[in-house]
Amino acid sequence: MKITYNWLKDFVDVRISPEALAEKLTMAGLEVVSLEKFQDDYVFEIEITSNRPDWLSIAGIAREVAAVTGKKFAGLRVKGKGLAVKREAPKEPSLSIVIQDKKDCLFYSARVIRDVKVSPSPAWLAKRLEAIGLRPVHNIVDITNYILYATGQPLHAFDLDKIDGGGVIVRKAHEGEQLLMIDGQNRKFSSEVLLICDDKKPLAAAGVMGGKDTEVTVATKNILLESAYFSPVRVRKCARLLALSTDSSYRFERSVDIAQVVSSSDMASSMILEFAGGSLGGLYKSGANKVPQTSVNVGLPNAGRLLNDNLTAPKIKDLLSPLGFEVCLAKKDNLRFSVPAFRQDVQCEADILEEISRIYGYENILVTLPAIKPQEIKEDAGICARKKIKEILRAVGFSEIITYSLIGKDFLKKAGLFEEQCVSLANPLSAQQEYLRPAMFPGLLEALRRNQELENNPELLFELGNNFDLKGEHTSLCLLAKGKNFLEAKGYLELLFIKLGIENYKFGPCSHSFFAEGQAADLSIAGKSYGFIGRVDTQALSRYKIEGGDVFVAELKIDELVREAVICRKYKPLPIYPSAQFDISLIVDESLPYKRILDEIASCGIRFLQEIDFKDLYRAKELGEGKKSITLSLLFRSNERTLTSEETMGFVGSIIKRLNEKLGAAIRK
Amino acid sequence: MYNFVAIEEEALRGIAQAVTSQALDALRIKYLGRSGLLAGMTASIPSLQALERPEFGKNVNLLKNKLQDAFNKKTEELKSSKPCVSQTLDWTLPGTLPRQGSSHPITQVMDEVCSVFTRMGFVIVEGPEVETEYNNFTGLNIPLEHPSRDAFDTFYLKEDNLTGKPANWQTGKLLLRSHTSPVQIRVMKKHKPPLAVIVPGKVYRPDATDASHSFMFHQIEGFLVDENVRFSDLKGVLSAFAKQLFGESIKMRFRPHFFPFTEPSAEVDISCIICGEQKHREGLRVRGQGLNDKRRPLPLREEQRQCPVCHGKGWLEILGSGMIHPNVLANVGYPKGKYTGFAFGMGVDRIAMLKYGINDIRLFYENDLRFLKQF
Repeated sequence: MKITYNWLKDFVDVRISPEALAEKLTMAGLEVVSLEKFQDDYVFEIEITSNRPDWLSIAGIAREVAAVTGKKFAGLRVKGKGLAVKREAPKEPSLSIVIQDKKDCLFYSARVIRDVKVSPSPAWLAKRLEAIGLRPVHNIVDITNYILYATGQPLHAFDLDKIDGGGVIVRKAHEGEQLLMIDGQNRKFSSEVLLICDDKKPLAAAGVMGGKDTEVTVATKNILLESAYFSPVRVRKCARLLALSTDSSYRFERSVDIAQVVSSSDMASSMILEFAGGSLGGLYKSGANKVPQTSVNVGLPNAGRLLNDNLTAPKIKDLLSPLGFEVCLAKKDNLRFSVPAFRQDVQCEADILEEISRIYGYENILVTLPAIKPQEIKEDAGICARKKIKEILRAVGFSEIITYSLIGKDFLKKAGLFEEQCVSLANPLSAQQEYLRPAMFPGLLEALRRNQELENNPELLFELGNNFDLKGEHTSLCLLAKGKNFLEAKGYLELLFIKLGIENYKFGPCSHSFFAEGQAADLSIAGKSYGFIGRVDTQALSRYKIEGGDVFVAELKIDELVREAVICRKYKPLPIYPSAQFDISLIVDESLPYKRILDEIASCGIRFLQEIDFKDLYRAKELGEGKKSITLSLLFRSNERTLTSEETMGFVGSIIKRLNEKLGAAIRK
Repeated sequence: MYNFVAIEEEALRGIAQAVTSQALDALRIKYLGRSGLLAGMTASIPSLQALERPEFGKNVNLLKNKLQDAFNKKTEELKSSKPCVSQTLDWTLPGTLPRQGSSHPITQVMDEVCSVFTRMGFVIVEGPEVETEYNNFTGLNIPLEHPSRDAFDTFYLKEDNLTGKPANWQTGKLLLRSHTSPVQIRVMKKHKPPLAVIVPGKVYRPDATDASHSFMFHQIEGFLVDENVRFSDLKGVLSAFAKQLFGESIKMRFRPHFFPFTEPSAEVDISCIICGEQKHREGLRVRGQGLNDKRRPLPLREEQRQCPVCHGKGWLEILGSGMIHPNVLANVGYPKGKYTGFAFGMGVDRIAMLKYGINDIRLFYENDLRFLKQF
C-alpha cells in the first residue's frame, strides 16, 4: 500500500525526515519497501501484514506513527472545509434498505445527495491520488477513493436515477443472475455471491465491484453513497469466485472498522458538497454499526518474562495507550485492556504482548542464550545413514543432483510407468506437474541427457529423495552409471552395503516394465524386495536421446534398507596361521550363473575354505561354442594349524571333481 | 661338468645388470647361498677323482672370491648411486586429478545450517512432504477462510484414486506441504518439552517459476519449547546462528512482522554481506527494492546501480521467527500457560544464493554439472 508524507501529516505532526520515518515504520512492523520522491511529496510503499487491516489506511498508519514518534494522533479528518453533515430524518419518501441475511452484512448505510455537478477533482486531490498510483476519474469517484485510502472504509457511489424502485436490497444472487460490471466484463453469479440490488436487477457485487449501468458518470445528477460493513468471509468468497481483487474487496476481506462506517460516509459527503455542490438528502441505514467491546488480560510476569525486563504497570500503560488500548481493570499482577474497535486482530494475551514488544522495540530486548536440555527425542538412525550414503557416493565419484518431484504424462510414458499408479494434484500449475513422481530414474536419465547436450561428459549421478505412490511416500536412492560395465555398476551398490554393514542381500530376477527381459536384477533382503538395478536398453536410450555406451540405473527404497544397517561392527581376530591360495580357471556353459558354481563348491563342505574370490570372466572362440571361462581364487586356512600342501591339493581336487561331475566344468590350461 | 668360465661370465653379467638390491640378493642366493650353485659344486668334490680334487677346489674358491667381490661392489654401488636414469621433476606440470564426485549445494547448505544447530543441542527430525490440511494450516493457527491463507497457497492432492489412505499419510485432506512448520505439530503432539528440534526438508508452493521463485524449494524450520522460554532467547539463538553462517562481523536486525503461528513475530535481517550496513542513497531518492519475498514477486524497477544483492537497503532478510502462538500450543495438547517456545524458518535456496552469490534459483534443479561441480 502506498502513502505519502504530506498526506500522513493530515493526521499526525511528523517532523522527522522521510528516511528517518521509513526506518521507524519498518522497525515498528510496517516494512517500507520503497521510498520515492513525487513532485513536492514523498511516496512510501509499505508492505502491510494481513493481520492489520487497520493499517490499510493513511489514518491507521498515522496512528502508528504517532505511537512510535511520541506525537499526538489528530483523529479522522479530511482536508477541506469540513462542512457539517447532518444525519437528519429524510424529507423525501424513505429509501428502504433490506438486508436478507445479517450474517452477510451487519450494517448498511446509504446517503442521498442531489444535484451534484460531476467534474474533475481539484488539483490537490488528483495529485494525491496519482502519487499513490491511482488514476483520477472525476470528483465523485475520486472522493470515494480518497476516503478509502484515508480512512480505510470502501465507499461506492451509485447513480440514484438508474436505481429502480424505492430501495436497496442486500441479498445473495439467484443462480445465473448476471451483471455487466465497471471493468466492462459481464459476469454470471452463483448463489454464493452477495449482491446489492434494486427491485428489478443487481446493481453491484457487494464490497467487490459495481455495475456499469449504475456507475456515476458526467451525466449523473443524483447519487446514492453506500457505506457498509460486509462479512469478511462472504466478500472473500465472492472475490475468489469472481476472480477479482479490488481495493474495496481487499479491505472488506480483512474486516473494516464498523464504528467508522457512518463517519466515513459523513466525510465523503462533506467533500462531495464542497467539490461537487449539491444538497444532502437523507441517510438510510439498516443493521447495527456496533460491535461488542472486548477486553484482554495481560499478566505482568508474562510480559516481564517475554521481554526479559522488569515491566511495571505504568510502563505497560504508557506503551499501549498511544495505540488506543485503555486499562479497564487493574490488579496486582494483571492488567485488563479494552480493545479498540479497529483492532479486531487482538484477541488474546499473546497479541497484547506483541504490541508491547513492538513499541518497547525489538532492538531493546536483550540477547540471551537458552539452556538447551537433553530431550526425549532421538535423531532417527536413517538420517545418519543417508548422510553416510551421500558421502560414500561422493567419495567414489558420484555427483548429487536434485530433480523435481512433480512430473507430467510425458515423463511417465517415456519411463514405461502408468498414471494409475500415481498420485496426482488437484490444482497443478501446468500439465508437466500433474503427478507426484513414483520413481526417480527417469529424472536422472533426463539429467544425463541434458548434461550430454551441454557436453559435460556426465558419468555418475545420484539422487536421494522421496517418491510417491498409492501406498504412500518413500525415501529412495537412485544411481546412474554411464561408461561402466554391469559389474562396476553393481559394485557401487555392494560398496554401499559393505559400508553400511548390510550382509544378507540377494540379487534375483526382476521384471520391470522399463527394462528388457533379463536386463534387470531385483535386490532383496530376507525375501523383501528393495529395488532394482538394470541396463537401459537401446530403445529407451534413444527415447531419452542419450548417446554412447551402456547406462545402468539402480533405484532402492532406502527407508527400511537403512534399518538393516549394522551400526556397530564387531572386531574379528586376525588369523594366526598362514593361508594357502589356489587359483582355478573353469570352462563352463555360457548360461551357467556364477551362483551355481558357488553352491556346488559350498556343498563340498570343506570347512577350511574361507574365501572364494571371483577373479575373471573370459570369453573367446578357442574355449568352444557356448562356453565361457571363470577364474576363481580359493583361499584355505585353518585357525588351529598350518595346512599341508597335500591337504590343500586334496581340497582343490575334490572341488574340481565335483564341479566337473555336477556342472560339466573343465579345467582351462 | 662345470664350465667355470661360462658360469663366471653369466654370474658377472647378472650382477652388472641388477638394478635393485632385491634382484642382487636373489642372485647372491642363487650362486652363493646354502643351496646355491657354488655350494653344489663344493658338495660334488667327493665324487671326483683324487687327482682332480685340488685343481677343482682351487677353481671353486677362485670363483667364489670373484663373485663375492663383484657382489660386494655392486651392493655398494646400488647403495650410494644416484638413480640411474635421473628424471628431474617438472613441478610446473598440472597434477593428475583423481576422480571427484560432488555434493549438491543445497545439501551442503542444509548440512552446514543443521550442524550449527545440532552443536547447540538441537535434534534433527524430518517429516513427510505430503501433509494433512490440519498440520499445514489449522493446527498452526492459520484459519482456512482468512486472507493470511493467501500467503500460503498450496498444491492439493486429488483424492479420487487414493483408495484407502496410504499407511504413512494421516487422515484428512491431503496436500503438498507449503512449509516445514507442520513438523512442529507432529513432534509436539508426540513429545513433551523440553524440545529443541531442527527440521530440514522440501516444500512446495504453486508459484510461477522464475529467477527467484521455484514451485519446489527447501526450508529449514527450528523450534525450542520449554518452560520460561523468552524472546531474548530467540534473539540469542538466531544471532549465534547467523554469525556462524555468515561471519562474526555481520549485524542483525529483528523487525516486527506477522505469522499466524507465532506472536510476537519477527523477520530477521543481516547486514548485506556485499555492501555492509551502508545504505546507498542518492540525495533524497531512496529507490529501495523489496527483498525476494516468496509470497509476492516484486519486479525490479531499475538497473542495479546499487548493491545487486540488497538493492540499496543494506539489509538481507534471512529468517522468519517468533514466539509460538498459544493457540498452536493448545492445539497440540499442552496445558495452558505451562510452556512457551519460539520457532523460526528459513529458505535454504535463498540462503545458498546469498552465501554463494548465485543469481537464479532454477540452477539448483537444472543439475548442470558445470554448476554442481563448483561447490
